[in-house]
Amino acid sequence: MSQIRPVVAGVGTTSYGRLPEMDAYDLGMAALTEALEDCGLGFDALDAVVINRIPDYQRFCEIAGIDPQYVTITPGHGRFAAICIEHAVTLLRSGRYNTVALVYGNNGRSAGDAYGGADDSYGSGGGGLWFPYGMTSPGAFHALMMRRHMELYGTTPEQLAQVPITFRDHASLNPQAVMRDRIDLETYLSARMICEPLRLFDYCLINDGGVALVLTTEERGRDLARPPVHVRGAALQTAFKGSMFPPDDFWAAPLASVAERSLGEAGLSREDMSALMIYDNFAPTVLFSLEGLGYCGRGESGPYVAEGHLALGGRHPTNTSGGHLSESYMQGWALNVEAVRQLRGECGARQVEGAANVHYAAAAPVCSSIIYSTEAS
Amino acid sequence: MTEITAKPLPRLDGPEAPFWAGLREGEIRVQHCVACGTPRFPASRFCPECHSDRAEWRAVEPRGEVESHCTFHKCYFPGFVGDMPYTVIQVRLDCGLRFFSNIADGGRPATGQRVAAVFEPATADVVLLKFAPEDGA
Repeated sequence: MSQIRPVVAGVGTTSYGRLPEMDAYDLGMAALTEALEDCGLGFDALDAVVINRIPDYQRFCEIAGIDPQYVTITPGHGRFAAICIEHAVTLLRSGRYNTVALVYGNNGRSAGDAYGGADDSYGSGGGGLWFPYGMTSPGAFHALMMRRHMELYGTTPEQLAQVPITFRDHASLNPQAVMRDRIDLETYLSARMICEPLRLFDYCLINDGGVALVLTTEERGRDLARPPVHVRGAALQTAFKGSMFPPDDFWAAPLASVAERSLGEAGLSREDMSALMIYDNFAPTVLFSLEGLGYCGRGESGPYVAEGHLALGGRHPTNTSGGHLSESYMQGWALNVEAVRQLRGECGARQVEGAANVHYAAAAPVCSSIIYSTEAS
Repeated sequence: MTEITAKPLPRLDGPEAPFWAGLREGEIRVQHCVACGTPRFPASRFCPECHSDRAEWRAVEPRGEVESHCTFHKCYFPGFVGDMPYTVIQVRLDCGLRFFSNIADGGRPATGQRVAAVFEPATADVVLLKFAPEDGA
């Protein structure tokens, strides 16, 4: 029996920004409608639906007027973008489902989401225990990691700055990006500190928006409206033990595991990658990801990014949309769509010429890696 | 007239009640697994190492090392307005357990610095676990 090959058939995105007239259901619905139009399928074609961040799966399906065979709902944590994609891959490979929609809706900006303070539950939900010391926010968690990286390896603020500066350059070429004005080193360094050593431009942009992907099998995807993009390799690895505190290894071990398994499944190497989409909730996670995934050596990410390898035209153009730091914090979802659009050649001024393989990855208590390709393995 | 807003306080009657009682008596008391001896904090019914549900609260050595630190310039809690900017340290005690805390005198920490516990009263009922550079360190 030959392996069933999963493909992304359709993608849809809303505009990003402050969209107070839309709630999370509306944003997910608008994105799903676009994704289905993109591939030329109707709502009735969906036999499985995976909901992310939208509050209620039943209400969402009621609004969409659909009765899929299978449905599930997942927490609104960014690490879940790849978990949902892995889930879709597993459902398709099982042979039990043919067309799976992944639907994400986020009205965090209009809802005033803050990611820090009294409602913070980052770090195994243990936040409240540390509030008396003033410890709160995922940003501070990453600031602690970045400080340690700086002291262990000599990484400098000027090196870290190259991440947001480069992604902003990319965003300046993306009409959908929320922040498109380019920034230079002086602007980066003179911006206010949020949690030292992290400055304003090291933080992602909380916004409203919706994203949807429709996945199906290679066999079915062949006849649809858009060229199918293969999910050629995928892997997850959790790192939950002791995860109330930053990981000693900057998630190097779980990242190495997902990189090896997903590249192995794809039959591809790092040199084959045309572009990288790296989860950038905070600029430092890009450094940790590059090291853990093996794009540079341990502790060498500072000099590596300073050499310009992440820029369009560089060795591995990264977050060509501007990513979470400049396009919008769509919790990994929009980066996966950008991977698909790059491989379809739809990215206009920011298009990577001849893009054939794109690597998505996230460094978090659930590490993930997905290899997208124009060709099957 | 300035209104004084209190800093967030821990829940003294929760699962970590023996820890907070220990701090009031000048000890860092954490759960230890009776079956395998592994210390753990915060509290949980089952040991993550061996899954035994038999545990006892006893004191650990009040010394450790600063693993990292960060300085808050954005104020997330109104009670900290007067402290801005303030620094949070990540400490690994010699028993292996980690805590977020502060340097007791508000001083600037350094990664790798040896520290000893300081039991700092916050209110009549609450003592917080803070740290100061170890003597001679």
